[in-house]
Amino acid sequence: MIHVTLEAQAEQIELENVKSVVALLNKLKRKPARCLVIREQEGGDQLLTPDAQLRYGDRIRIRDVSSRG
Amino acid sequence: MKCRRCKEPAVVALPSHNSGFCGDCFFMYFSRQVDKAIRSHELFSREEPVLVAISGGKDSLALLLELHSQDYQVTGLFVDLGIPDSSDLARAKVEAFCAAHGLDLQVVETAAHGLAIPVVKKAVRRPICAVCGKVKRYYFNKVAMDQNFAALATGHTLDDEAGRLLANTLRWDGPYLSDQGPRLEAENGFARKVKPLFRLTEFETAVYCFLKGIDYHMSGCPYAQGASFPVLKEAMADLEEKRPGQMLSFYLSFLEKGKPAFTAMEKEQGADLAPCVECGYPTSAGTCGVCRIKAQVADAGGI
Ligand code: SF4
Ligand SMILES: [Zn+2]
Ligand SMILES: [Zn+2]
Repeated sequence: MIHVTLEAQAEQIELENVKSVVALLNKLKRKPARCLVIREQEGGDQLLTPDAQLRYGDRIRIRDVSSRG
Repeated sequence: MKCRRCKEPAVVALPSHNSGFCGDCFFMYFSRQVDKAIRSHELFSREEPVLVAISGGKDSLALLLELHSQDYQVTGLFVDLGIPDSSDLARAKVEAFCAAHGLDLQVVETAAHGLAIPVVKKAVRRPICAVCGKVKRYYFNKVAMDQNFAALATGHTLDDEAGRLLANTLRWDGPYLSDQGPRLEAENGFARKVKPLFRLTEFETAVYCFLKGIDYHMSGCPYAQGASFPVLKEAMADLEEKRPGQMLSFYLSFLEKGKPAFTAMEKEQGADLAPCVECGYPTSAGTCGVCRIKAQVADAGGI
């Protein structure tokens, strides 16, 4: 299971059986070039590329790039 | 995925460049794109003072920091529109960011000129975003002109530029097409306008901000309306996903092959500008748009 925060919607969800960033983006209906996929971790959050594998218990933040401001 | 340059693990994938980069190599890539943009279109030199229009969003903050780190003489300008739950939050982020990086910042409060946007919104009938945009552009230009900045730089990215080009092309809008591009010359009371991020996407500025730890303003404006422009911007992004590199080539080809024709056409047919009779700002209508907004606010009892 992974924990996902959708920053733009201020929403948190949990997903089972999502093994990679590509799979996660497909599930969330997001395009790789339209959001940052960030793994929260001690010592500094990390950006993930679409081919990166996800691990059980990962805490991921999705930051849409086109949020206005 | 491995970094194309140094083979360390990549943190960002860039399909349009068929590559991925680690953090350090991404910064190098980003700086080179800005440098190439500035030099290829002679946007400004290191001897010229440049005013950078700052909204508090990722693109303008990334631009200000990057130009500063490349030793350009930059000053940020934030126009505080007085919009509740938005302007003050953006301003606080901008002030903290500039203080942390030792960047020069100026702030103009439109309320001090009788133009707080909530007051304007009550007084005018037109959609507030069009009016608000006019007010912002007015003060960016005014400060650039009054203080003799050589150029006014904005954080427009390739997504903004290609999206706008698509919109203008769908209407074959001659005047807008003739004005589109990374450098617009100073003339008739308008400062030179430049867009040093035109080779970089919004995704890339978002990555830059993340990796630099820039805390930018993300929450939207309470008055934001769904405009047709973001739809086209999204359409362009969809096209880019299917054909990486298309967005940049669409824009660069326009600059090279399409724009000269529109510029020539506008030279013959363009409207004549003269200083506003009230404030001296260039206009084709006697009294400029902002002075007319001020009059409407005064009529509505705002000032
Ligand atoms: S959304 Fe509209 S009203 Fe709000 S800051 Fe932008 S242009 Fe102004
Ligand atoms: Zn590298
Ligand atoms: Zn005027």
